[in-house]
Amino acid sequence: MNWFVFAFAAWIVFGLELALLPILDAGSGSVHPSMIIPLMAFVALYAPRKQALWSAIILGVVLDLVSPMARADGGSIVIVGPHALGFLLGCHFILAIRSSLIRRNPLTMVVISIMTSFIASIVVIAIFTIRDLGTNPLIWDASDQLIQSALSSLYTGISALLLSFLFFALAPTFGFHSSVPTRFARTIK
Amino acid sequence: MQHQPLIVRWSMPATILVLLVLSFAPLHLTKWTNWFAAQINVVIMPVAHPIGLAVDMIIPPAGSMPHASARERTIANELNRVRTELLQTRDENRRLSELIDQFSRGEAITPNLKVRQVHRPRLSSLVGEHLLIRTGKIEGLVQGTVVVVDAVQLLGKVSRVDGKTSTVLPITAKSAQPILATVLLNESGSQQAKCLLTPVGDGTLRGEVARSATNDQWQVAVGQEVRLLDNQWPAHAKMLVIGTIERIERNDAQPLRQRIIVRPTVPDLRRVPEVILRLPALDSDQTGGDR
Repeated sequence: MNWFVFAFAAWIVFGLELALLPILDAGSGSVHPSMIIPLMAFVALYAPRKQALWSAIILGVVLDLVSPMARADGGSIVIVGPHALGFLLGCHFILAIRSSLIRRNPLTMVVISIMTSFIASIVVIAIFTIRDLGTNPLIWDASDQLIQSALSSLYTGISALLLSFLFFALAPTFGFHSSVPTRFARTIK
Repeated sequence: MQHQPLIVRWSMPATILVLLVLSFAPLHLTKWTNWFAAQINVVIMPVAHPIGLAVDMIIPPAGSMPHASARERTIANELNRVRTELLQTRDENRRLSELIDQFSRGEAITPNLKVRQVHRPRLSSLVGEHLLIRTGKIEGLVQGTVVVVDAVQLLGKVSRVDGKTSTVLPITAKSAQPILATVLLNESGSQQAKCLLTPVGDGTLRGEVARSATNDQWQVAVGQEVRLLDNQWPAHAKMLVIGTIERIERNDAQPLRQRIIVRPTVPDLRRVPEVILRLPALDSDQTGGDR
């Protein structure tokens, strides 16, 4: 995989995520589509296993760094790790099933983006809920977050559908050179 | 078999371990991540900002007066500014009046015991069950200092004092000690019934009241006031209000002892905006600005 292209795509996608968040929120700031999950899913579909996992960790760490958590004292704090671990598990899920998928179908991107987003959300919610068991000055409500994450995951399907056309068009520039055996089609080089 | 260097082989597990540690690390140990967040923002903003501008051009953000002229907007802004100042002044007047009233009432309850009352704001942060008060090591402030709110509503005791802040454990905190109290059975307080109240953890205290053997006409009822009567607390804290009886539960195991649930007059003691510390009085030349 060409890491420079990946970094550039991630830069643009994070810019889109931050700029479009207030426009695309579904009536509230908490339910919004993710632009990053489709990129992660796209890389996980095509890239070699190790590169896919590292890209998921990188995207997750950057998302952690741009997602400060509200503290009870009115301030905010950055917690590195929850999204990175969530993305890592989501990427593992895609790697486990990718040999059974029709990769160049936009609907594949839609379905795996929704599922990956939900898996990553569960990991993030689990981590913050476990943190919340102890002395935790964060403002956190697991049930609210679960509902919002589920709706956001569904919403991510729409962004995945639109971005999939862009990513498929740009696929050659990413320089994927994996030869993952596929079950129903030719091996993708 | 292709052998990879050790650092490459273990880089992924090590990264996962670091991420796990960072995910669960106490917040005060992860403040350094703010620096990385700032750098990431520096990197992302150059692309996010132009996209945001483009989006604003396509979907303009709605202003407060989209159809007003420039002159109308200026007048409206000036009106808003003056109105804000007026409301702020009114609120400050009301706050100071209440404070004077609270100090007067607080002194009136213990006229024979000299107590200095120091008014301090609560910091918004909650440290577990504790309150954080913006006052450090001032004269007389020690662990165990009585803290009240609204002059007579007992809030708790100071549990820790450091240079700039102090921590208060409210009486309703689950980890607070049980307190001896008395229920005022009538308006004048001539009839009382003692009880031992234990914090439940939901903002209330629960305890059993011994039915008076000598006088059956006075019964424990919902709404009656419960006040502190505990020798473990300083003398000037006696008869401070703990709360009112919210409900009475039947105690089948001990039918002669009614179980009462008491809630402080302030619904949530952890969220009071300001508190009053009741400190031992200083000599007249040491009193300074605080009362």
